[in-house]
Amino acid sequence: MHSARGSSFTDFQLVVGLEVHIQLNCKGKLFSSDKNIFGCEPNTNVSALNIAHPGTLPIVNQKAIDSIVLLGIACKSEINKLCFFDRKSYFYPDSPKGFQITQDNEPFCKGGILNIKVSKNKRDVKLTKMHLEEDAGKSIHDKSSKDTYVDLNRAGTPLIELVTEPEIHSSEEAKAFVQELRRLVQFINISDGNMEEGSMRCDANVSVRRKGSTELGIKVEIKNLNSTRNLQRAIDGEFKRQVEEVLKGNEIISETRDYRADSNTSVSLRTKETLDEYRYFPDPDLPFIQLTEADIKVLKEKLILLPWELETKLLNKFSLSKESVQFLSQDIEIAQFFLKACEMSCNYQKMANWLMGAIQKWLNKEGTSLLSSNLTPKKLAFVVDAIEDKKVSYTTAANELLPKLMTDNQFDITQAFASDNEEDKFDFNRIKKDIHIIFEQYSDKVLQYKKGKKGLLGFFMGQIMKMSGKGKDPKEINILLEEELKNL
Amino acid sequence: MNLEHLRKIAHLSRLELSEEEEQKLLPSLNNILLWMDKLNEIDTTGVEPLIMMTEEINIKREDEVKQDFTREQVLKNAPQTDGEFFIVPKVIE
Repeated sequence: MHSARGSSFTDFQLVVGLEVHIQLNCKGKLFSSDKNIFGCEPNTNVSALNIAHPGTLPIVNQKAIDSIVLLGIACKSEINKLCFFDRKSYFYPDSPKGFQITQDNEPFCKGGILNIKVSKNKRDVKLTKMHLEEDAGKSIHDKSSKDTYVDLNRAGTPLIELVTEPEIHSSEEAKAFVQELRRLVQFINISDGNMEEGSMRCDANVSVRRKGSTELGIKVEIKNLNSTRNLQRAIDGEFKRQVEEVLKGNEIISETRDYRADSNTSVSLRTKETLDEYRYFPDPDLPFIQLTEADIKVLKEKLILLPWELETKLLNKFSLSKESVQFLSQDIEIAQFFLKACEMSCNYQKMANWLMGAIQKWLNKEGTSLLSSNLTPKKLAFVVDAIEDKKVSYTTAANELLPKLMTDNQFDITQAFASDNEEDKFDFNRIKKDIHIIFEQYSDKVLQYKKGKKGLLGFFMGQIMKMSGKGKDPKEINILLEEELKNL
Repeated sequence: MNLEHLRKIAHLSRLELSEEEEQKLLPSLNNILLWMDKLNEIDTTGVEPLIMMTEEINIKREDEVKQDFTREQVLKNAPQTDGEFFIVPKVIE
């Protein structure tokens, strides 16, 4: 698209700042003890505070403070040693108090960075701040044509609001940022990071400017981005819309737009209230929170391993493949399981393969998770070692042993191997025996093979498959066969 | 403060004021602002703003759940309810 002045899309730079709300996995709410849980019957988790009864006082939840400080430490933010809360005044029925308790002047964390990777490029995205605030209740507008229905279960839910500097310049970067943040909050276990259920919600402040300009354009806030895909599509769409407006010679209006995923469009909500209309002021009901170096140190010690540190460890210490590293560093529970197993076996890559392959497949099929299964790191190490020591074939282990290991906590794998005898279900010794029977039967061919006629491998393979290969993995048998030939 | 300011503040608090109430409130609010101006005459250079009246710090609670109310109790004072929700006049168009 070209305007009269000869400008086009390529003359403009996209500028995005993100605001991410992270719902904390505390048991209770931020300032009261009602349950913080998703999906309950309406208005069943509500306290006097959250219906704004007179005479109620908010008391801040220790775990919420720990959570934000943990995230701040992980992102190298400056931890504010003296914090307080502010009231943000606005009138809406899903917030009966008439204000939201949030932090304006002295947030818990200032600055910080999060390193993101887009294709092969890594870079730090600067954070502006992170603060604690309470969520509002939920208004339901489509139950009736003349009324709004209000459910206050969500009111008071503890949230971290994280704000980035406006220095994200592509929708891919925005997506990478949100994905990395999600991995981090899951990893340090402060939130489940589930975007579809609203545990992580993202607003994007989007503006455009001519390339080379350092001034920021007028920003438009896009709300309701409940997946990384929608985030990316909404940013791309908004960039296009704004550039087209500018090329037409129109001014960009500072406004909030609501993203509609079904049509991949955004609609204007209202012109944004200016900041002073929120009439922020310090909440007199909530005394200062003071953090000491000692408090911060205790929390720092909890962050034994951050996802990017784990990545380095998996690559350098255990020499795992890139795919394994990516898989294992997605989830702290799987990672810890793996690290534990590595204390008991040196077959690192093989164990990673098991976790990514057979085990993951089984878990997906059964719709369960590693930690709720009966598999332990010790059992994994044992089984992988057994395969490597040729005590059992891979196929037998994956098809017969694995389901038992996953479901039966009485199943003693060391016992299973100990009771192994010549005739029994673990077939390695039997197949080995069969191989030697064939060798004896075709001793002339064995002689030819030894003299260099390597093509006979196929012949032996055929014989052994016929004899004992039923239901077995030919690859495994092939390995066994080659080994026995070598030992002749 | 003029009538326009007053109406804006009333709107932000979703208050509907009659003309009579406006006439009563306007001088009253202006009196408060006059008093603030009076206070502003004091030189506070170098004085830290007093934010909190209490000297207490770090009043926190453990992350524990306590259910004080049943839904019935929660909805007891609602002007309108269906037994599950608070029902209020439509707030969006």
